Amino acid sequence: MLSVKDLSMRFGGLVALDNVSLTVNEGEIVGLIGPNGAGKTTVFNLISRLYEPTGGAISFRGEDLLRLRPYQIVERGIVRTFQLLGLFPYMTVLENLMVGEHRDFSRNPLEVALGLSQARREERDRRAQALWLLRFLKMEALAEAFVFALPYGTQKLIELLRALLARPRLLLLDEPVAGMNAAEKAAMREFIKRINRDWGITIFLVEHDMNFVMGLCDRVIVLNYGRVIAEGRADEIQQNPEVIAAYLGEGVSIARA
Amino acid sequence: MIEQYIVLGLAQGSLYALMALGMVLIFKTTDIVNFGQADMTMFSAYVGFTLMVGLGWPFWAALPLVIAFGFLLGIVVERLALRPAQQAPVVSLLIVTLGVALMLNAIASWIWGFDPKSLPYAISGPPVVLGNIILTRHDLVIFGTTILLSVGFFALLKFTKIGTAMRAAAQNRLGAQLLGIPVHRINMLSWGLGVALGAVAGVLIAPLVFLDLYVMVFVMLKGFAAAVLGGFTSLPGAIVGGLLVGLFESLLIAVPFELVNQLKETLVFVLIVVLLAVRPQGLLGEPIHRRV
Amino acid sequence: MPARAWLGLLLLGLVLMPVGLKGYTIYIVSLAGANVLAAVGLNILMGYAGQVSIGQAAFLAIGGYTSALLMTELGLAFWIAFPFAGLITGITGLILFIPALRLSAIYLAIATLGFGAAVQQLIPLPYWSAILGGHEGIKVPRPSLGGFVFDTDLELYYLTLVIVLMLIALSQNVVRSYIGRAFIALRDKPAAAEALGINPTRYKAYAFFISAFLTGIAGALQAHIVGRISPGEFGLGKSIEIFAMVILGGIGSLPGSVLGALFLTFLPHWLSGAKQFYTFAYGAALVLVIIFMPYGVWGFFMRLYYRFPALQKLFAKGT
Repeated sequence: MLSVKDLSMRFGGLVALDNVSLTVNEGEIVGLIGPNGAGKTTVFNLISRLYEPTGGAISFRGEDLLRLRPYQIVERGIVRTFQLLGLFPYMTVLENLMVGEHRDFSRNPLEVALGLSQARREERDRRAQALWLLRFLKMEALAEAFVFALPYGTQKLIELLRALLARPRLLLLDEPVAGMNAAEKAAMREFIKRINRDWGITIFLVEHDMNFVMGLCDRVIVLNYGRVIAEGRADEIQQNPEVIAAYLGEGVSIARA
Repeated sequence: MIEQYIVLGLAQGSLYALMALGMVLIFKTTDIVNFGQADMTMFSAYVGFTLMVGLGWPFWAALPLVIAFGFLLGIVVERLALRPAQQAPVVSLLIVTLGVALMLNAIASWIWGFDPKSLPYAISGPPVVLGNIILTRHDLVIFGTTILLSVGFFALLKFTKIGTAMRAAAQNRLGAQLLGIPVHRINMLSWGLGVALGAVAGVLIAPLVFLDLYVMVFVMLKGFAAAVLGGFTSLPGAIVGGLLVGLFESLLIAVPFELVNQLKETLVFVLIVVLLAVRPQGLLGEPIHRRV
Repeated sequence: MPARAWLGLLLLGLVLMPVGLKGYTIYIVSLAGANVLAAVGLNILMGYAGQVSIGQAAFLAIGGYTSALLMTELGLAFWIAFPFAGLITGITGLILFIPALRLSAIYLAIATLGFGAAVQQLIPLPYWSAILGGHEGIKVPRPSLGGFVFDTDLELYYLTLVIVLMLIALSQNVVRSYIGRAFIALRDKPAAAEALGINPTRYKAYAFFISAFLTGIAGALQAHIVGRISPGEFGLGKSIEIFAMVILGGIGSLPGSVLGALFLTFLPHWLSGAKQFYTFAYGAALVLVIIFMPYGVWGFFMRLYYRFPALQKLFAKGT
């Protein structure tokens, strides 16, 4: 589904990614892990076209993504969340979710300005859709709350909901459980499994929490110093000496999982 | 002939550079674009007028006092108007500087009235001839002062403890605060120095024009434009930008088309916009990285 | 009491307001109406889309001259010339949108400042003074609909009221729609906004068009109310006045802009008794408002509203 080939990225003299190749198949949950500064988020930023790669190719369902502008990526079915939250702080939860539905708004500005009934109906329908999703998660009480006032974990979840409203085929999640407690993490894991299984959404995620990754992902790709050093099932990865070495360098053990 | 225009342009540009330097300094440490720079400069120039014309002091005796006045004015404005409003977003603080400007304008009109005043040159005497360039002695003072102030200023920032603290505060306010740098005092100091630079520009410009309540607005706009051209966060950029704006303006006067002269102000801005379109971060500004 | 009832009451107040007011006061209220549109126009650009402009007076001038000239030179009827003036101004607004694609806030400020200076310098040039009237300016015909000419202060007031209310309603529709949300999204988190499919070029163009359109209409309205137009009215001072209206009212809220515009239009008249203290008081007022209401008048109201539950009950939702 997603195929990254020989991707390289240099910032000035710094090599962030060095000939990275990886694939994500339809229906999978794939984890991208690695020590801090390994280049994980850079991979996401390249897929979502925020950066221009210095070399390599990215294709999605056979289409060359490098020919698209950042705002066109979502139309192809790739939606992402951000490591440091991509929510709009001065909007309410509901408004944030409705930005997720942006590409479903088709009425032109004149119809909107004049308040024509089609434009009003469109707004109402989209609002109902967003509210439905909130209600589905028993979060409708938060609809009118301003985002900046909510706990970090809740914000993370809302950003995920917003991404879902953009109707992804492939969802890129950048540290979806950062800042969450154990119960929230467990709930998030079940929720991601569910959207993958029931809604057929392919998941590609970056995460530091090894327990979380190991208990969720079908396949794990390990990045270190901008290169792929290992790839395989979660249990295989945990035995891989190169991976253990990379993490030992960071003083974090992954054997616990 | 063209050399003459170039030199005159550089002299004019030096004054824009001083103005730009003052605005950039204030912006760098406080994030505020001081739209009151014009009226603060105007007010300081009037103080110079009282000292030199009213009391008959020589230029060199009046200058330190004018600088001190500008410094004090900057400190007072920071303390009494901007610090109390520091909760407001920075665009709103722009309105505060504007309000201060109007108040100064009013006070100046009470003290000195509405009639234009003329100030003496820093040094009088016959012009200096260098090859086919003719310069007044005042122009030489302008060059000398600008060079002296720029060098002194960079030395202050580079080699003194307070300069290091100012640079730290400009780069990372919170970090500086955590390191125990008194950010409020740094802000006051920047305002003092920024307005003092304008004051120097003011007493040097005033003899070239008739000093009235509004004449400095045009100088400030050129200074602002120069600062933006230079990158707005770069002090050397402010000087380069000032010189370029002065030069360009002077060369436009040399163009023998009436239309070009009529549209002088516009063309200066057009040049700047074109340059910025090519180099959005300004001549010496740091490139703007996209934050994710 | 539901919000709709308050709105009705406000409307009734506006309709009845001229009763007992002097003609001159009514005239000033009408001019305030034009300023309201200009402030709303800038607020959409600055408060919502996050694009700074200190050259808005240029759009006032373009709107005013265009509406007047379409009537006098081309003989068009008011009801055609007037909206057309807005459209043409909106299109010129796209000139500024081009640098806005590359420049950040402070640079855009310079570009807009230059644009304002350029328009003010171009209008009085001798090459077209036969049409534009040079520094003197030109006479602007009174608005008329069918055979009815709006030529008293009262008639002009009601015309202004209808136009201003209509355009505020349209603006409110836009900022509360997906378009308004896209503006804010691009302003606060451009990368996230783009990742959700918001095309920055398109929405910046919308913002500049809408802003210039509203300001052009404001300029045309002002010209028709005053009956004259000349380049001297459209200097940097006017641009900054509109800027101040938006800031004082509260950035990012349209009702705030209405209050800001009304406040700054009337302030000079309240202070006119103060004579030589006028400029000082005006400046002091700007400083004090920001010190005591850092987020503008509307931000101040909102704070009170959230502070005191009794107020919330008073304006309880009921639609």
